[in-house]
Amino acid sequence: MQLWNEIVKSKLAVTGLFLVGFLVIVAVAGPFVYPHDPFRIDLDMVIREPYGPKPPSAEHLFGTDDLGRDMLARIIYGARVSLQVGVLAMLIAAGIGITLGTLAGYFGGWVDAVITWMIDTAFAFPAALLAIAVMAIVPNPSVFWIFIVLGLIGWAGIARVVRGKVLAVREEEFADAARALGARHHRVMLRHILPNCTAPLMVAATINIAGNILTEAWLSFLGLGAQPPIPSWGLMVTEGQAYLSTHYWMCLFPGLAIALTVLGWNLLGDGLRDALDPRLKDV
Amino acid sequence: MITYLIRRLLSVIPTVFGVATIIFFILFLIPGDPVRVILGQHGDPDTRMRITRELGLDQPAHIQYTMFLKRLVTGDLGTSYRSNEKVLHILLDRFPATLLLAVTAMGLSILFGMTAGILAAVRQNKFTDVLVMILSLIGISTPVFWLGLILILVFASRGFDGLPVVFGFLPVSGYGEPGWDRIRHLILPAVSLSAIGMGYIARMTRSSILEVIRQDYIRTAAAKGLKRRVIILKHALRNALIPVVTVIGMNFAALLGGAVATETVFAWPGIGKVIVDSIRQLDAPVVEGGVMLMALAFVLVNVMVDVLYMFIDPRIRLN
Repeated sequence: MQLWNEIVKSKLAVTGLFLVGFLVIVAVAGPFVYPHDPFRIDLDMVIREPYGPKPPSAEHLFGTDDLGRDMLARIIYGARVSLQVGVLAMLIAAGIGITLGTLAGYFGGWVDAVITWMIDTAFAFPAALLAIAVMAIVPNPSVFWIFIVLGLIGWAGIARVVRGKVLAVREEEFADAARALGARHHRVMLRHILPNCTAPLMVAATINIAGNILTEAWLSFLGLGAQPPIPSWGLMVTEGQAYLSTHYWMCLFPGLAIALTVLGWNLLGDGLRDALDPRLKDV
Repeated sequence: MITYLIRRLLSVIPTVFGVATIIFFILFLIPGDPVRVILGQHGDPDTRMRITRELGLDQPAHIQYTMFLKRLVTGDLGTSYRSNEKVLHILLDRFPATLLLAVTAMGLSILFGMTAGILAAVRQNKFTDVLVMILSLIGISTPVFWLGLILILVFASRGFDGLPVVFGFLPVSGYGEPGWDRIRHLILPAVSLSAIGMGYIARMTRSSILEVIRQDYIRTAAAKGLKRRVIILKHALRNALIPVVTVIGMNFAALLGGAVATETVFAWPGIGKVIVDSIRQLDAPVVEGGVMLMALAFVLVNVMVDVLYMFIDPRIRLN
């Protein structure tokens, strides 16, 4: 409740929360509310004069693409793709990151040494470039592969945050008390230490989602992610590229959707950090 | 210091080795048939066998891995499936274009990012600060490729929807002739590629300076009656620089990734564009080689960052 009050106080966090909330509503309810089918190809529309994609109109608010498909319907559907990739990849990354981070922070010693080395090594890798290498080789690049790959490269950031926090919490008296009462290691970790790491974890997860969405868009733009006819925003920008100077809406709107979504998650992450750690606010 | 430098350079080897190993296992584990890519659907079985043997694909994994590493050490990144040209040759051919683009974009990021960050810190919580913070967050959140396309849209000589051509003076595609023409072609790709770095650098510069100016020695400097400008630029900035330099190094990975997209958008003939072209042509050796070269560049830049620390902060040199 206190956290909620802090979030509401920060204008940045509220803006972020609003953008993210809007995205979630659009992704969940949008396709049921908006009447157009994102996959329906309308050739009558295409051959109507002037030939080609149609500009925004009352019927098609964001215009249509080169196959007469409604742009807004595709962007709404794209919100699902984007949200799925962002969140699922984050869950994979968080699963690995929390496990390794907790083990390293809790046990210390050689366990910590090995895991810290793994984290450092992961940071020395240009992960996004490795994603190209993977996606270029998988037989059928798809959204599924993207969230696997993004999940596997995103763990290090989360592990580092969790390790740092566990290291601090481990020394607190309640953790000692739990151990003194005879609680086993896994119980101390899961019930006593991890709940105290929620705050930094939420910040790291939010920023991870922002990064995932941006990377998915980028891979799909390069042709290494979602494949046609899936309306992924990155892919839609690629499809619009050929029509850039004559039919600007095919590029403009999907890109705007990416930028606003990522902005929303980043704002939320920044806002959460300020709210959870007031010490940082003025810094 | 020399010892440190040598040690740091040697530490590059395991990382590059790691990148190479991961790329090898990606190639090995993920099903995909290079022979089929080379021959197309209709290769006859004899040719198929011959090429499989030539590529060493009939060998067990550990032998393939040793062969892969041996070739790598001698700088042999394999041969393009499409053009039969040496991958290293193709990449080195394109390297200057990518270097020019990346260095220019990085320069712009540092110049404008740090200036904006200093301004924001000095005017904390005032209009300038809020504006810089919002703009840098937008810079971080905007996809590089889309920013490039929007710049093209604005600068495209045609304008759009009959709007007057205001900005038609910059070329939106290609590499240009050496000299002034090259610089004109460089402006738009470099600007769009610099946005992300600018955002990160501005944010880090701001928070780092804000942290430093609370320290006692800054108060002492102020008490001595030094001008605010001297305090910020001479006393605070130097101590605030370490985290900023770290961000610049970390950001180099994003810069290279962005270059892959930017070069495609602006038809800039660098390594990024060759990677994307090769992805579309299923030319795996060129893609892997390009990624490996970029990974090497990233690792080397971060070594340079570590060395830079010693120049910025003598305390690091002593330890």
